[in-house]
Amino acid sequence: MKSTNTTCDRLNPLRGRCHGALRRGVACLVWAAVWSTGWWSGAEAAGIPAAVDLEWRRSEIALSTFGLDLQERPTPFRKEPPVDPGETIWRGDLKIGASVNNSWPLLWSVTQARLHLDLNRNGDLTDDTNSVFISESKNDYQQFTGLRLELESASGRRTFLLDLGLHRWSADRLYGSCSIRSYWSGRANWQGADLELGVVEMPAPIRGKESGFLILRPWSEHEKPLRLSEGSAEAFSSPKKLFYLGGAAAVAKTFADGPRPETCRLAFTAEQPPMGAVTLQGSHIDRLIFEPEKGGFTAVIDKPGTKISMPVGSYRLTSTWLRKDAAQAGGTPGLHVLVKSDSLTNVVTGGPLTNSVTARRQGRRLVVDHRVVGVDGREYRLRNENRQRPPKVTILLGEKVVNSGKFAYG
Amino acid sequence: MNLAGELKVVASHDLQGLGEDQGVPVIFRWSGPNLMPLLIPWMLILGLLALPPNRRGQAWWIWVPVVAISGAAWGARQLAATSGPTEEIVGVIGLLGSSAALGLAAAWLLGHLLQGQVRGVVFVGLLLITAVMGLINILVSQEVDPLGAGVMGVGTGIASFGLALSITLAGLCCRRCYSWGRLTVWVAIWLVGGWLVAMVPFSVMLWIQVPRFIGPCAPFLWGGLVGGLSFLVLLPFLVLARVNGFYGQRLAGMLGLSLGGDAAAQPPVLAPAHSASGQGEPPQRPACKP
Repeated sequence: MKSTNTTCDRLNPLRGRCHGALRRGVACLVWAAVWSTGWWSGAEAAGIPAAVDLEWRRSEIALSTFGLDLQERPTPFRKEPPVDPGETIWRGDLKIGASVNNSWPLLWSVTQARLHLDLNRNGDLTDDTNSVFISESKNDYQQFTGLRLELESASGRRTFLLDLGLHRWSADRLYGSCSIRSYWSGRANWQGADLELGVVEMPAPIRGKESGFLILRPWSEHEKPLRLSEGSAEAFSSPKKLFYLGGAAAVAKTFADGPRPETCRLAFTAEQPPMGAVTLQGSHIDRLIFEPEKGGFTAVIDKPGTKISMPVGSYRLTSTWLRKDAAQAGGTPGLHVLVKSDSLTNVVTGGPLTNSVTARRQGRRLVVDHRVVGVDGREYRLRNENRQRPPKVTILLGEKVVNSGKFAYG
Repeated sequence: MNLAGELKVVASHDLQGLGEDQGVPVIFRWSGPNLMPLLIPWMLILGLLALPPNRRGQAWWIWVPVVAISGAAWGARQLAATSGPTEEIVGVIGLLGSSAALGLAAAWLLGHLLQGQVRGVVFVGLLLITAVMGLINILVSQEVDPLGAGVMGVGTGIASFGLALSITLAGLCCRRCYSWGRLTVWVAIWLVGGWLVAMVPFSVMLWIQVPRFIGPCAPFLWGGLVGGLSFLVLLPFLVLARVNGFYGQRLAGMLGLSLGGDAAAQPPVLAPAHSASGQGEPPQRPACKP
């Protein structure tokens, strides 16, 4: 009943027009009914969407890539597609993640660049539909693109679009990789900003990323490719609570049961957490991502000034992204930040970037290492760096150059 | 670097407007390398030359192969320095080569201790002397960090094992009929052949794992390369034993060989000096039949 009272309190404009307890009660009941449908909630009042429906989408490039566990089978399957004599084939099991539900028998004809999956796992590789995939290359490394499989993720069984890379190192040794190329995306208005909100699910469990990722970027950039494996300013670990553009909300991710690929819904419940202030030292900051250390908010701060306001709590600054025109750089400071309501917290991160060198003696050699560091002394990596033009080093004795050269990446 | 003083190290890179391209200079006080530790192996050779059995002018010719190999290693490294990427590997090979040379010099100078011993003892003695001397050279070289020194120490041990085994086995093959040429051929066969055989299992293993990168010729290539380089290091010492009577006698005595073969062809200056040095006479056997 507390929620109803709260709702009535929020309807102050109505109150003036209500005459008597009966009419007030009816109004409250109507409001409660509307609220319960999820069509409107307190989140909307704060400029946070109550719910955003996300459609399943294909990415042209790999969002995330991870290694596969491939186990060879010594014996043929119960029923196999015709195999020519002398044809090089590999029989085994494709395991994507640790879940037993994400495993299928496979037969790879290296000679014919063809992959057969036993999707119903009945040992018959000829009775499945949409289970044969062709690679364009016929050498020892073959890539099979556009596999649509249902995989177990932390949220249940989901539709994934995958690319499989199979690399035959030797007669009995195979290396495999899997790239995720599907995600769920939708358009949302958050605190007046036109955004793309998206979800990237991960097959369970992959390297501690069970929760998947949340994509959060301007809608105007929604066609730009995402690469999560290399680190991305536009996506971060799926939060349970999100603070963004001054709005705070609990996040609930649900998937519709129905035709595949399924739709995803992100539901937001606005919250009014106690706020604290952070002073920021650093330039060129495009986005800061603070992840909670103890079940609090994931705070995403875009283009901050010298002072930012964010929910009180214990955070780890997991990403600092810098931008100037087309140039972008990112770092993972890993800084512990405690935001309090009664005192300012100082955070040093971001630019300007500096070309830093460390020199050490190794016997008769001078070994020089190069790093790009931010104002916090932590390492940053330039995106779109031209590797044909590596950093240079000059060694001077007094004003005389005694040695110079280029650094080698490594 | 042979400079000394306060060095300013500056890095520059295009930071695309996110910072200054020119980095902040780092000051590093560089002192010239301390050459004293480098002299330790050479001083040890000098010390071995002072041993009573080595107190003769002919013994000083041991410097020739040592200096020749160390000089060749240094020269190769200077040449490689201009090409960049190969400098490091050439440096490692050069250090291993010069270490093996110092080890062999020590073995030649301590050979009188192995004279008259059974072949197993000779093999172990050769192995220990060359390995310990090589290890000392690596430790004082200031070329590698502690981890690299450990790896190179293992490399020196393996190289010493190959050298000691091939010399011992070649001696065994020449026990009935010794000539310098015959011994040299047997050393080459055992050294190169041994490395070829040793490389086969590794190469087969690699070939099974990564057939794309390892061809069927790999054992011949790697075995031939390592064995060939080992033989190139050993050859000057064998040549020294051929042209210098003192070391010829020392090698023959160490391997229990008679000088009946081509020893007669040796110049008078190379006459054996056992009686003067107090070493026992090696067993005399009839000359090899053609």
